Amino acid sequence: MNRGRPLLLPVRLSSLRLCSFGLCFFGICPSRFLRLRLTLFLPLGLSVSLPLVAAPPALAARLAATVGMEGEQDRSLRERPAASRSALEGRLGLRLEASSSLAARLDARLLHDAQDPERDRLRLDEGYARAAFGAWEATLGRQILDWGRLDALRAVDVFRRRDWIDPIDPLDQGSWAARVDRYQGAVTLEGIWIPRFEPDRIPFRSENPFSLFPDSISLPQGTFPARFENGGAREPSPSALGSEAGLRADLRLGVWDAGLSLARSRERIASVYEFLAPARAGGDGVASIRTRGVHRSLWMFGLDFARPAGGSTVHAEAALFDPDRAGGESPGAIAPDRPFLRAGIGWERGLPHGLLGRPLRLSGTYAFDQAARRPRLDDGGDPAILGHPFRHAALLRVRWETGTDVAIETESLLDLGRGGESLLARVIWSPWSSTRLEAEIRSISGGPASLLGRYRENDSIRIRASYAFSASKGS
Amino acid sequence: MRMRPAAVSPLRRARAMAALAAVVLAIVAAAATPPPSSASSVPEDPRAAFERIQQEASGADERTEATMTLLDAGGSRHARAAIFLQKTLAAGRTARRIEFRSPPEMEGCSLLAIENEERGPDWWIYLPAYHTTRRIASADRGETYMGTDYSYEDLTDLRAGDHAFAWIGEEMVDGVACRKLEVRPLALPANEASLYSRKVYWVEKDRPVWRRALLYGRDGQERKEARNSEPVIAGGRARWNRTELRDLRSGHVTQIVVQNRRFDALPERLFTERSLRSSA
Repeated sequence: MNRGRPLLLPVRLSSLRLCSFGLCFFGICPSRFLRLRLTLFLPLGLSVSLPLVAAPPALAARLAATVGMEGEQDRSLRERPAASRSALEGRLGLRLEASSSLAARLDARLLHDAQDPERDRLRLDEGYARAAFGAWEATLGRQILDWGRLDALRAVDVFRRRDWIDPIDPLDQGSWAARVDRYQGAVTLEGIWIPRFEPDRIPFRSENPFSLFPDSISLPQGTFPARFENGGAREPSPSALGSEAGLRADLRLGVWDAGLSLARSRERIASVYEFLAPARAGGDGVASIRTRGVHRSLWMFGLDFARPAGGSTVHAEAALFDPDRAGGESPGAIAPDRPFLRAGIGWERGLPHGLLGRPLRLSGTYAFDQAARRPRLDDGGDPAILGHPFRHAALLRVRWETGTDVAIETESLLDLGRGGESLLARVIWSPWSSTRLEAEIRSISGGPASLLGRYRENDSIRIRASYAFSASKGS
Repeated sequence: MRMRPAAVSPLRRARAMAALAAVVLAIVAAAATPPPSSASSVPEDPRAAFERIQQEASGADERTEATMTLLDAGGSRHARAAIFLQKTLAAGRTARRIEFRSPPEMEGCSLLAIENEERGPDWWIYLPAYHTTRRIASADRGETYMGTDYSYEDLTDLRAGDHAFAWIGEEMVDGVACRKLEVRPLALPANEASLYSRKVYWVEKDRPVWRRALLYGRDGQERKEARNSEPVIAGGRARWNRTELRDLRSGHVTQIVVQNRRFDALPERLFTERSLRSSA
């Protein structure tokens, strides 16, 4: 491999051919793609009592199971053969509550994607036990950890893991962690300890339009298509704090809700991907490269608050990050960054009779990221696309309850720094309990240097079908 | 000297039997009669009467499991299972929490309302899909939650000092004699103003509970009607096992049927914003 030259070729050149489609927006005229999605949740409506085996009567236990299935399909409107995707997802949720002070929870998903095997997974979203003693509460096991107050783009939310295989619908993932809360009137203290770091899940397959890696690389023998493989994350250096830890205090001061956070964390998406083996073109003419993410340690000090203001609710948060070298032994290409700031502010307003006498809820979020973060490959490759997702971003949401069973939602995510937007309109119909039908149309566009600009190269329609039922044995 | 059993005269025997019967009757009566809190009469002063009604409805740690059925004018039904928690905090403030258990897509959605001494209540809502707790602005007090007909304002007690009260008549409801109690909000800042311009409660003459309520919108028109039925005495307090709230404009109805009710002491931690993440 030519390690002295930039590795990345312009990614998805073919996408630029579609610039003629669509409209310019905010002065940006990138390629524009259209995604339509129809979501269908079908009910089974079953309610089954599951007796708890050998459960003593005094154990006021509740066991609830949830099973769901979901299918989806992307289809191109413009190109033939149609780019399509279909997937099935099964969910299993179990709840066991022995009392108000002792509970356990398990949520698992099995996803099979017929077109994209990288989306196939069997994962445990949550699986934990919780015990409470007076004002103390301890939660141990796999759990989703969330800090912050904004709708999205949260600055202080450093522990929450995400699955970015489909960044348009990122999924929350659990972490193995111990959490202790102390509730003392208007003050809540929270401590989190994560013994072993787990990074976010990112796409590696070149077929995924959001893959962070280039389609091809330059080798001495020429330019070859590239196939990247996930070699995991570099283990963090041993520390008395374990891999990640944090303390948080939540206070209620009159109409103010405030939070103070201090965390020792790691980048959830690596700044650096080092090659574990030299790349060489195989017999099929494709260069296979195994990479490993190097995640820098970060100190984070955060502030957040929410308060009503003039009939609305305002949320804001800011976090100051002080990054270390990656794993204590950063590749030479990476120098420690200076401390940087991430912050955001959100606004929310509900109007009970907002439109045609029906409830309307509006929310807006603006966030910025000061980090001069330019993730790269360790051979000097500089895929600008790997930079932090947004320098300046705005998220606008509107939800209109048009009837008892019907709601219309719109969502606009704007990349104000590099251009690009994701515009969504969705109709939700819930004709019966546990039943939901959704139809949505999403338009995604962006310049070649933006995350959104990497969206698929053709118009598409996604159809999703799902059904769920629950069974419970209550106290 | 030989002692001889004292002869018991028929009269004394009859008196003893009568006394025993009185004791037994007293015990039976005590068991059958509602405790004082639920049997006390309704004060004549309308404000005192309303405060007595609110006191009867709260004032104890209470955990209620119920099903909520949402019915619209078109006939569609949506069933939900929910847990209602209530606790009296310092200075007599009431905190209430509602947590939905089903359907699956709503599981874990929670609502918390905490009353304040010096101002209106605070509300928070937790949506598991977003993993975030949202503070609800007081201006949003009229917004209904989770598809029900209940607004955030309906979840909290009225602050008596912010309202004017008057008896405006008598009427039978479900065969029970009731007095009509009118409640009107006093002028408040716009974002503190009630969703309703007037409320009329049909209060039972002998008990501090109401069987029916009519809620009038700011335009003076009838907006919602609430009805309580299936009365019980639970934990020494008057309770209803069935409540129905009807939106008189849309015809939408929310029915609540109580499945289980407990009066164990509830930890204060359940009534904090951060605790909404955890199942109650």
